Amino acid sequence: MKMYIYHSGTALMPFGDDVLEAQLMLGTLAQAQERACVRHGVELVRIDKPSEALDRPCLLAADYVYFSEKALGDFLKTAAEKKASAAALALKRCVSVEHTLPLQDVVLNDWEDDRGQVVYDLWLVPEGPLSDDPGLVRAALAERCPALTVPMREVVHAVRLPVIDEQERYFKYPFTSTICCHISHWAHLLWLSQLALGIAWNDCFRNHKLRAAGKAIWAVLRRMSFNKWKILSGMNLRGPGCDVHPTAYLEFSRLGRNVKIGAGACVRNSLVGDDVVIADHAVVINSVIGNGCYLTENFFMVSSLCYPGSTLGNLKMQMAVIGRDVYLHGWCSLLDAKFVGDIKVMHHGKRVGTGRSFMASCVGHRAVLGAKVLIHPGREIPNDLLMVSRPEDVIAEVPESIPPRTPMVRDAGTLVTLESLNNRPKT
Amino acid sequence: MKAYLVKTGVLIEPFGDEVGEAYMGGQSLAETTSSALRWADLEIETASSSSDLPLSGDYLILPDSLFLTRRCIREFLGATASLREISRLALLRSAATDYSAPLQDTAEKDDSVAYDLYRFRGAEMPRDLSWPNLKIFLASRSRLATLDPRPRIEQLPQSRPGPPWTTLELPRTTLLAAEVRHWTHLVWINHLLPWVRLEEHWEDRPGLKRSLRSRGRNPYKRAARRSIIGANCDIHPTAYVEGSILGDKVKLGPFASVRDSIIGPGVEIADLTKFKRCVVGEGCHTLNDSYFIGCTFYPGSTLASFMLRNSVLGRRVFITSGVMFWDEAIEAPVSVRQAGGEVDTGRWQLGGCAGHECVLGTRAIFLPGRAVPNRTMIVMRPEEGVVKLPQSAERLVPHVYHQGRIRKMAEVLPGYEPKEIEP
Repeated sequence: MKMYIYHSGTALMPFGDDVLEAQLMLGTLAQAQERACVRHGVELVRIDKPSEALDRPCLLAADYVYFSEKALGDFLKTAAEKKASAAALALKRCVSVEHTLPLQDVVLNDWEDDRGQVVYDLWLVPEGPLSDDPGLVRAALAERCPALTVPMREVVHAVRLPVIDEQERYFKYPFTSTICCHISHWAHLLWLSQLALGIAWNDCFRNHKLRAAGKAIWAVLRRMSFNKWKILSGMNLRGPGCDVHPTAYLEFSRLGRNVKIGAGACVRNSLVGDDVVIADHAVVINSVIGNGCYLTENFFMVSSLCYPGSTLGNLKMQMAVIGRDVYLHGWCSLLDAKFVGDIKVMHHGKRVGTGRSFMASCVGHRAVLGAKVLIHPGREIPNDLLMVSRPEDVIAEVPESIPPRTPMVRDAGTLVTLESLNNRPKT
Repeated sequence: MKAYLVKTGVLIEPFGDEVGEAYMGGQSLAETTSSALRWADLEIETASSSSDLPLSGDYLILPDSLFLTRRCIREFLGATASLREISRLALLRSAATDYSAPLQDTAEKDDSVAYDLYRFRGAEMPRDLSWPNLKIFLASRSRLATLDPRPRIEQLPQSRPGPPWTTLELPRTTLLAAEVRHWTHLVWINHLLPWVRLEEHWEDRPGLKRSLRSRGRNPYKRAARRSIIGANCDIHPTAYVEGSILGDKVKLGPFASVRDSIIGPGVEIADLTKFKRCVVGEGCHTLNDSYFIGCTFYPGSTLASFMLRNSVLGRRVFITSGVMFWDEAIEAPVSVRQAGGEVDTGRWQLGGCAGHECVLGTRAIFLPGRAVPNRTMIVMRPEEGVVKLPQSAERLVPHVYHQGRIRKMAEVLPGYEPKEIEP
């Protein structure tokens, strides 16, 4: 069978990239779609307009739709079992679906009751012509293709969030590989990267059952323990040429080729691309790091996504999306929490709530953030932004003679005596 | 044979010290040079001009600003043993010569770099020449004896905007020579010295002991076994030492980490503090959770920093956590002040330097390559610190900092809605 993926012209801001170039796990959305199709023997054909899909029956999807291998496989299997000639991929309401739901343009059926489901733009198309216009096609197929709910399983792990206003809050972290999402905003990339570990490991276990079982048995035998943390620390996949310091700690992570991990570094539940350098005492938790990134000493990264080629010297970063070839200096902080109300982001020209209290910002490609600044949550930093310090923040000129043991203070880029500052007329 | 150390009068700024007092690998440069010359069975004499040198004979001449390893002297003596003329030390150009090359006063030939170590033979020494003229005389009549340092290269990734991504080649060799004229040379030479001193130490030890310590395939574990721990050190079981030399009575707190460093006697390293490629002088102590990379600390300092890299701190300095010697240039390589002018170092990563007995307080952020004079005291600007707080506060009513006080936001900024709490 053929799957036609039509071009929708969706561009992801602030990157300005076509949505197919969006970073998903360690590749692009286009690669993820191709991988899923190859796994299930479906021939992927990219077309400009829906009307160019000629074969019948066929699968049709918009290019902004991300579907995991498992989701596509289960959709085809369920359709075959039910002998459905026309269907639209749907997932029932669950934690992983809700995790990526904000800002998505999807059809919600019976959302408030137990039978709630989300219908995505991936259809099994029966006989009949298709229009040139994607909008008309969506409307037509919504009538012609009934929603087909794909069975799914997920394990939910509750992570405690900071207490505000005496209300205990938990971040429900789902572990599943049945994922579908309409990608139209950088926040979707962030949320999908937080689910990437489940997708990657479930696919790995499914596709390499023997190897995965052998690894788990070896992890138990080598440590002579059933302690879950000890077993997980043995469940890592390393590509060839990796250089991991003996004091570094790896747990349930996947490393690409030629990854270098320094002394005392900690990498947990993360996907790390090829040629990445994680310097000494850096910490990476539940994140996706693209190829060729350099994480400097003492860097701390949690639940974030990083495109390839970036140099990150920020001391702490949580829930952020970092573009390609970005340079982030240690004194530029991306704030990631809002005390009251949810974090709002720009979407289709409007400020829209994400329903989240904890989320940082998105840094565009090639941005250089070298200044002492705090950036509020949910902001988009444009591509190629070069941000430097204000002169009063730094000491650029050290006077040649400074009176010894006299208190000096920073002033307009140099050092002056505290006394002269106090004697200035107050404005 | 005798070796004559000629006084050059070079001062290392901002310390104002004579170059012989420059801090190199836990000793002064004068002590370092003396021990290297003595190891090669050379008798050391000092000279202030050519009049203090014998008219003829076979002897070495070097300025007091020249740093040399003992292997360099030994191989130079071997290479010039059969020559009957004035010979000059040259090293084949490699990372070993390039690493500390910026700002040095060396002569660069096609594929080699010539240093001011001369073996004087087969000529007559003129009288009354000070070092600059003596140097010209020797350089014009000498023939180069070129040695090959053959360094093993370690690539250090550079934290700077890219692409292209750059790395700095860190040479691993015991054959080193460098001219010391600037505080940046202390940074660069001290990056190399922990490894050099460790290699020299194990060269002198019996082969069996050396082999036992060098066993295994993992280079990090091997380096950890080859560390030298002084007498009466107090090392917490969770602390980590790799490829380092610890003096006597060093204290390492829980989760402290010392890699590729020389730690002087009596240094106290507090919990979670990390050192990499550092030289720490006698009696320094750190505060908790500090991080130092590629720094040189003269003795007696109190050290605290979230992250301090490629910097030099003088004797008895007190540096607090909020002080930052920024070490990552963004648009152009770091330039430093030398002889009254700004000189480009060609390096993208270089911190700063604080003179002896400086007290550097919170929120002092120096741009790369800046040097602070001796006994400077930097304090916080008055309006930056909070000095007055309300006695009580209403629940979830936003307050802001204003002129040294914490006050209700509505009073200070009427009508402003903070972004953290907008509904």
